[in-house]
Amino acid sequence: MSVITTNEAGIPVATRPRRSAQLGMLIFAMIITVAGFAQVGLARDGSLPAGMYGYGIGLGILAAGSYIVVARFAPYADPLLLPLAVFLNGIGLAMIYRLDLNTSADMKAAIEAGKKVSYFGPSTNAQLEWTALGIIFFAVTLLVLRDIKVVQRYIYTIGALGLFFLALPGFLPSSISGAMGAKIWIRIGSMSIQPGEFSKLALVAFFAGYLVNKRQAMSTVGKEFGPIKLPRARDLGPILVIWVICLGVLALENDFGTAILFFGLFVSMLYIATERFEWVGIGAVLLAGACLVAPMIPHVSQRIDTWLDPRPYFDGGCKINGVIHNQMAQGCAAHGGQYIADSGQLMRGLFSMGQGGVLGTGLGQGEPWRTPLSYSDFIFTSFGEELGLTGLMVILLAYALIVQRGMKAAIATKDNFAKLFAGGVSFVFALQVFVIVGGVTRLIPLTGLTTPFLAQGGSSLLANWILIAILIRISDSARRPAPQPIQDEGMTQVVNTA
Amino acid sequence: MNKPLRRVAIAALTLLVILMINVNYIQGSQADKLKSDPLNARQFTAQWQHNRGPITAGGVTLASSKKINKKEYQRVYKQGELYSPITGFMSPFNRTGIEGGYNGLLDGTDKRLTVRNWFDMLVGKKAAGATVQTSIIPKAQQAAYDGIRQATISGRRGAAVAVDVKTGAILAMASFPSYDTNDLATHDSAKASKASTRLQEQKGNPMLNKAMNEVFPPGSSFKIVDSATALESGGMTANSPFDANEFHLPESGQTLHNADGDEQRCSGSPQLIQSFAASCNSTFARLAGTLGQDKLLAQAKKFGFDKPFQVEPGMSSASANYPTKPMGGDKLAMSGIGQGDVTVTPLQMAMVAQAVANNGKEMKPYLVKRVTAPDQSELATAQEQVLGQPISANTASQLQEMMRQVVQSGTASSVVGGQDIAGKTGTAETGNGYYDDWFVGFAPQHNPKVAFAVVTEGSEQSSGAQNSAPTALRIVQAVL
Repeated sequence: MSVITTNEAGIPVATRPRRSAQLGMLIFAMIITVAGFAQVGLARDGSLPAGMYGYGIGLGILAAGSYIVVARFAPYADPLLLPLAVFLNGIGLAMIYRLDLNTSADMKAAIEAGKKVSYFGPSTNAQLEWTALGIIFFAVTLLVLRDIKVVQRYIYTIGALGLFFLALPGFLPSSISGAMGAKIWIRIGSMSIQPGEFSKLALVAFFAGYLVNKRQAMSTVGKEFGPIKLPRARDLGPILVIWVICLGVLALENDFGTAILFFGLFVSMLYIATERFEWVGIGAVLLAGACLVAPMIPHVSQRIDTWLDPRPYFDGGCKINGVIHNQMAQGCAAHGGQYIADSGQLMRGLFSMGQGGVLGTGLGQGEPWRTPLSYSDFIFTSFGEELGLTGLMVILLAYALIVQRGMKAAIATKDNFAKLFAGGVSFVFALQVFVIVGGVTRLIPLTGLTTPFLAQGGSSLLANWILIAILIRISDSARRPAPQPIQDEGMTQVVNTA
Repeated sequence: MNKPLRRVAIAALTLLVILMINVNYIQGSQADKLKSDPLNARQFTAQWQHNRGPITAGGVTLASSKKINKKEYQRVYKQGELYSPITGFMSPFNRTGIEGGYNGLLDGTDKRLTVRNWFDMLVGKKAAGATVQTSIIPKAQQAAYDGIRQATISGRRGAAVAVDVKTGAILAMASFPSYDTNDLATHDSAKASKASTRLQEQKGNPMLNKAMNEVFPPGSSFKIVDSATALESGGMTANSPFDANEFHLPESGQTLHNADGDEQRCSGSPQLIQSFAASCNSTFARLAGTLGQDKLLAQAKKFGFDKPFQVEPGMSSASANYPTKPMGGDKLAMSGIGQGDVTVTPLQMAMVAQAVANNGKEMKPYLVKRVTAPDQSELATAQEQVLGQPISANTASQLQEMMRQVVQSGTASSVVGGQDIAGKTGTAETGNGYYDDWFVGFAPQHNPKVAFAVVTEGSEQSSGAQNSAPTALRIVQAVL
């Protein structure tokens, strides 16, 4: 029997575990991470940093644990997914470590000077703790979720929880939920959670479960409007209601990045489920409509203005007599102008990338800390500076591989719910990378989303590790050989007709 | 569901490919632009870490870098006050002059240097900076600066430019009052900022390069342009007679006076060359009215008026102005004697003289002769470039004769008579207690090699001949 077989859709499916390939790539991912730590130390102090061993060993133990769980409980899983996630998480950690050292030095100086320090910045320890928690979530998901179909039974509960957590920060006082113009956090003590990250997964699960049940009805029964056939209200209704609630909540919370994600998610999943291209057309029309309306929302129009031409808004754009001057908010008010927005972060991010050029300054040798939030929203440009174009292409390729592997699992699996689920999460993952990376590289207006696995932030890390666990589970079931039918050729009777 | 899944997969991967293209565009082709963006503060902090190449002039090092600690260099300027219009400076927040325009070559980040040392780039070794050789002649620069400093009255300004007639290379460019560029090259941004504020508040704006970035009324030196117009499009020659009798402004009826003692020479209908040598205001105010604004403007524009000269990257001059909006008769007459709304940069007047001296061919002025890599190989060399032919060779030779006459028998004869130099004097009244004294010309009288413009702000008793011609003579003697 051949090792490579194809499923009924004609997709080649590996039917043997690829444990050694996975382990090899995992070790490679770890080598890159530890080399990253080493380079930071060598560049800064000329010696291997003490942190390298601690953080390296910590991440190594976590990676080994995750490998054992995958090898034991999802042996047929795609061998690339786990190493890719560890690689991205690892270099993200190395970059945060690099930025953390820098601010630590500043902080020490400030404390010595007797200044009061309120610290909210890159923290390697916190990120490593979150990584540990993320990998534990990953393992638990794989252990508990032996068959993805289990999720299908609870889709309404999951959908309701997703919606609840999405809406929660909007109802909490700003002191708990607000920061940087958006209300999307829940802060308890020193911990802050972005529940939207989990809602995203929950809603993909809900949409997948709902659409699997209704897809036949939705694609066949309905009223025709010219060339477009719309499903019955009772089929489309619930999903539309939830979707509108989601977008409404996100608008209230000023979280337009997530709104774009949900919109793309909704359109792509409807299209996959119904196999009707009209949905993409309707989505495009709605998107065009949103593009016309969005500039009327102040928070959005600022982002668009600073995207189109950021220079006048550098370090604050102040409109005085119809002309925009570079002026901070305070000075602007003093001159009787109208303060609009600040493009300093966006432009510093671009300067950071420009500094990096093709080969980068080398880890620890650039000045990525000049960009505000260089360790979270703008970590991509930090990589651009220190690893250059070369490094960014590697990172984007790693993302592309995760998406491709997820989509491959979706196509390979036989179960329709798993198909939709894997397709949905893979697409939303790609869209999220597009929105945040496109935002910081001024391809599209900037909206705050986390850069998966790289950016500092607990919720995002946990949610993305769960996402990888789900893809691994689905790819494992897709590639697992079907139980062999009993074949006993020796017993076959040959009827002699002679 | 596999068909739509495949399509969605392609869409998702397309999004990532778009990101890759964009990242390539930014870091591959926009990187240099982003690095030198004026809003980008990085370029100014890392700048001290480069072993910048020197800026030289005729074997003299004007700017050099001195290592001050493990990582940083200090920029040192020789005679900062003298050479500030050439070198400019690098401060914690900006770079001017050649320091600004040639920054990439000086600090070694320019592609022309890094490509040669691609291996160094790969291992992260910084390329050493290139040497920028200017066309300045130190002795002429010194003569120019000393001359304008001595001739300028307290609180006022002066400037001098000398260019090579054949090539357009700037041989001297001095500005007064000046400043010590070293004061701004400190690594301490508070100190640099303080120095900058102090200089900006000083009289005469020391940091402004008066030789090309400030405009002055040209006074009678503008009569070169009037005469060029008359010869080119007014159907006249240097020997054409023209009414030199007392002139009254057409609108106000005011009498336009000639300089004291010239009443006799500026009467009747002398040849144009005679009026030019005696600098008869009556002749040229009347001539402006006869020629008309359109012809004067067209000729001025051919010389380069109303647009800046790009001398070097990042070093553009201010524009000399001849009014483009229709003027009344009085204003038009005043424009003929270089007053009213006519203003010029010293560089512009030097270029007028250069075109006259070069048989009508105006060359592009430049300051950088050669750029060499640390291994002495040539990275760039000045390309002589003809800007245009504002006047015919015939007109040019007549104008040359007219300007020789000024020295031999005219307004400059009492000061530089007998010297091998030619030019046109100008004394512009400002109404503010000082005169703008000009001497614009070339030397030697035959086969000219250097063209110049000198302006100094002297007292209300001064004149272009007394105040500026001696400086011009010192400059050309230093050059020749």
